[in-house]
Amino acid sequence: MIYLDNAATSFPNPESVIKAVADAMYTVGGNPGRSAHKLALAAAGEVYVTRERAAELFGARPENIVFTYNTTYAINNALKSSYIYGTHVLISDLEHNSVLRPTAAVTGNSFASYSMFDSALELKGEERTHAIISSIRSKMRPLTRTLICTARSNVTGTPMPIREIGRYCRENGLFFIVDGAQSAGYDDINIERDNIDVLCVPGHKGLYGPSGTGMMIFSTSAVLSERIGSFIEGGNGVSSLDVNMPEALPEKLESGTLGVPGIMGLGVALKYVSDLGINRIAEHDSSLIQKAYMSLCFNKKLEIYSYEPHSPILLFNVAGKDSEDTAAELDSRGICVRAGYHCAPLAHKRASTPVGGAVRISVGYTNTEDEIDEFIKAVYDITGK
Amino acid sequence: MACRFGLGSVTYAQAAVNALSRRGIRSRLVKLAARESKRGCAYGVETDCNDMKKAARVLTGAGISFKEIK
Repeated sequence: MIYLDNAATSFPNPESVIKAVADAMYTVGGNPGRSAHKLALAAAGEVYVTRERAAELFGARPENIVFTYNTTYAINNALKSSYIYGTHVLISDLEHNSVLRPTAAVTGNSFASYSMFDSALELKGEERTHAIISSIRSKMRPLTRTLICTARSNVTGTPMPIREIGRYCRENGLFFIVDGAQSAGYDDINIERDNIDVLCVPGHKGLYGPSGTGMMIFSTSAVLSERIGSFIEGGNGVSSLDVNMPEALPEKLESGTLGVPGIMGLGVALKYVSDLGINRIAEHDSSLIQKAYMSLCFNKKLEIYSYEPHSPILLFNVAGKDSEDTAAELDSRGICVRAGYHCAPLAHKRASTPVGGAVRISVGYTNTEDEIDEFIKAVYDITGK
Repeated sequence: MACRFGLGSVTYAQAAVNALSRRGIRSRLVKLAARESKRGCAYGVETDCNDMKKAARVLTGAGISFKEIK
């Protein structure tokens, strides 16, 4: 089996991660932050180790790492805990439904709304960055207070100039939430340097952790901004006599029992990524996509919608064939890909894919050149060339 | 003799233990008794009373808010 669907979830997980989750199930008892016995305090210590490793990777404080179940949960929490009723939100025209849907939901209940700025896919480099910032500027309104943007599209693999967007947001008083679903573990993101208020990431994609894990990572300025209210209220082991949620992160936004085995697995996964180095991971992954592209681009029966030189993603269709049919044929050959709209209709519209979307391959660190060769051969078999 | 600081959440208590450890001060994470925490359910760190002043400086320097428990 050849797994080329890492943008959905990474597979296989490193042995060390699997072992950490299993070990946690055997050895870690108690509920961190609830009881006072040795097991519970030890569990709290393990959870904190994961916070420390995430903080180191993303340039944050450990106490500003909030665990969630995935990126969607993180984005919903980040937006809904910081949204000022009646204000305007900006998103890009590449956003996943995890951004589009909650944005539509929060603004749909008020007299404000949201607008989309242009991701300028056709341009490159400085010209593209300038066009994006100009588009943001053109969409600003007197009541614009929040901007949410993907760091890298899950459909086209295109990165967004997060640093420049962050600088614009800081200069113009916008709360900046970043969807890091495809960037965590792949791109160099530093929350303070890049002027990000909240970075939302999954544990189970580029970080190679277990599914069911994710994080919101808050900057110091976000914490000091007084924009963050609580979104889910409940027990968290702090100030139980107080009907209000605690003031400080992370417990302010963490209610209910944490998924400790998953968090411990995530901690080991963060070490795995840090030890490898994100540059090494990115170089490996993008070289495989480049190999695929350099073969497929000569096949006239293929439509390739996106190729980015440093991306782990390639989007294509077999001309005249529904994307799901192509994916099924690849599946019959033991190759796992994802077809359709990838929960991102905006991005597909922007990339001009046909009805039915397209086929996406997304590589990971365990994929090999031989696997890409097999994939290329399979595609050529399907097209009859 | 052991003395305690109140930190609030277990996360900040763990942060305090780590910060103190980096500066060579031994401490342990504890759950505070009901009489030690007005709002119920809080965590703190326990250290040698002779280390309290130095520990307070370390925690302040690390940006960790605390309350000395008498």
